[in-house]
Amino acid sequence: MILDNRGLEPPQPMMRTLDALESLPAGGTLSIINDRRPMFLYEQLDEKGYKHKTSEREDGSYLIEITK
Amino acid sequence: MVPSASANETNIKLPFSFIFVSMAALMASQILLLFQSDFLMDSQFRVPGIWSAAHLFILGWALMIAMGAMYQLVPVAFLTPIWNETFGFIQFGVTAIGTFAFAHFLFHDPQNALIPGIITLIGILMFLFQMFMTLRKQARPTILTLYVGTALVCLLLTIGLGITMLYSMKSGAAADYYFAIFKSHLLLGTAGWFTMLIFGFSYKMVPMFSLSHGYSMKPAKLVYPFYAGGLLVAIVSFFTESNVTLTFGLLLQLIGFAIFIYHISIILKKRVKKKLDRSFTFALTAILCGGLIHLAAFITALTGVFSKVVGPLLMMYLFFWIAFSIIGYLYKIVPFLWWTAKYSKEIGKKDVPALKDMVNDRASTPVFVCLVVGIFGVALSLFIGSKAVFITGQLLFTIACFLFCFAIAKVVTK
Repeated sequence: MILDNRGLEPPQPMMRTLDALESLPAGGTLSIINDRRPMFLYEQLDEKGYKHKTSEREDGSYLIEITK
Repeated sequence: MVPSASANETNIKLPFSFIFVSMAALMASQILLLFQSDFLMDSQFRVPGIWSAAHLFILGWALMIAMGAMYQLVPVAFLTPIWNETFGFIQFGVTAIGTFAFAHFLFHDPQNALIPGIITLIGILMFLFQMFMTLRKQARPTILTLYVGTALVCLLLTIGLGITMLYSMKSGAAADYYFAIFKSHLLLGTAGWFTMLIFGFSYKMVPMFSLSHGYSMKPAKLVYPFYAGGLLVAIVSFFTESNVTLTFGLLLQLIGFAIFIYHISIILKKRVKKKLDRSFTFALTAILCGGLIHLAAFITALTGVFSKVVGPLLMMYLFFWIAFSIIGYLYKIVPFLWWTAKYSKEIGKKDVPALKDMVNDRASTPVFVCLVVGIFGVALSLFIGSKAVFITGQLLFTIACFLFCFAIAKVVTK
């Protein structure tokens, strides 16, 4: 599942990501594309034990792959 | 076109210039207040030392910090880059020089404070122009643009009225309206500019810091007309000298503030992050304090004693609501700012510290306790007229301010 959060005003990207994570089955992967790194989300992902990997894209946005 | 992250991020030197200079103003204002106990005990608030300290605290600290935070937050929260960064640095220089010179003249030579006052005014006008040019480029204005926009208009009116007072003092013009202008200046500077601004940015920051989703934004549309309407009615009451109108204005503000508290509680109920950071909890407590002070203002107006308690109430409003909100949020914003500047390019390449490693959240508790106890002591001393209580409270508060400045400065060493 890929969620494109570019061009959205905060806190929309974070809210959309949390919504999508809720319905994601265990073991599933959610990929999000954000204008900025979701700094406040990382702590929560670590706390929940979700794995995540961030990479910068050519247009300056970020791809974050989250595995539940 | 979708804006990229780099286009929307401000040069970090700009917000940090404001934040660091504001810390110096905070310390100077609190140390200066420490020596004003005799006047404060006599309820003489309109004397050079207190004028100077109040303007250093409000213009030098709170306003400068709000400017710095806005240079950073506006591009992020409203998806529009700052109109002109170089202009921002010039604006910083003018405002900083103006504010410190203004505080100096208010203390030593108030009759000649007009020129540094005008330099400060130019600095603030430059900021307003910068924000106007920035926000007009926003693709989709929202209700929060209205909050921040109204706050900026209130700031413009506050300084306009402030300069009118200085001019009136020199020339005697508009002397009949001096007190109405003075009261409007205080109301618009506190409840107009700061409260509207904190409301607007709280709607952005509370969900971010608590990781909330799936809440309604409808109450925000109710908060605005009540609160802004209340401000307008209160200003009318100052010029018509009608207590009934003032009470009604304070009631409208109270209703607006109460809906805001209710709305924030709805957002928090929808949060994913169960354990909130202490600094953020402190900012949330400040919201409750703001509501309680609005309640006290309304009740005292209703019972006819508002004019007797307005001094201490205003002081508590400045500290418990405005200052504590700023301090609580700053503990979250500064580490975020510094992390982004220092480590954003390094993520994925090597181990970088987590955001929570940037500032010691646990160590903030004693600072907050000292701030609260200190300012409570100061407020109590104003009510009971005890110089010893004042000096103890003010000293404790000054030390806590220093520890707060130290904690914020330490972030940039990480």
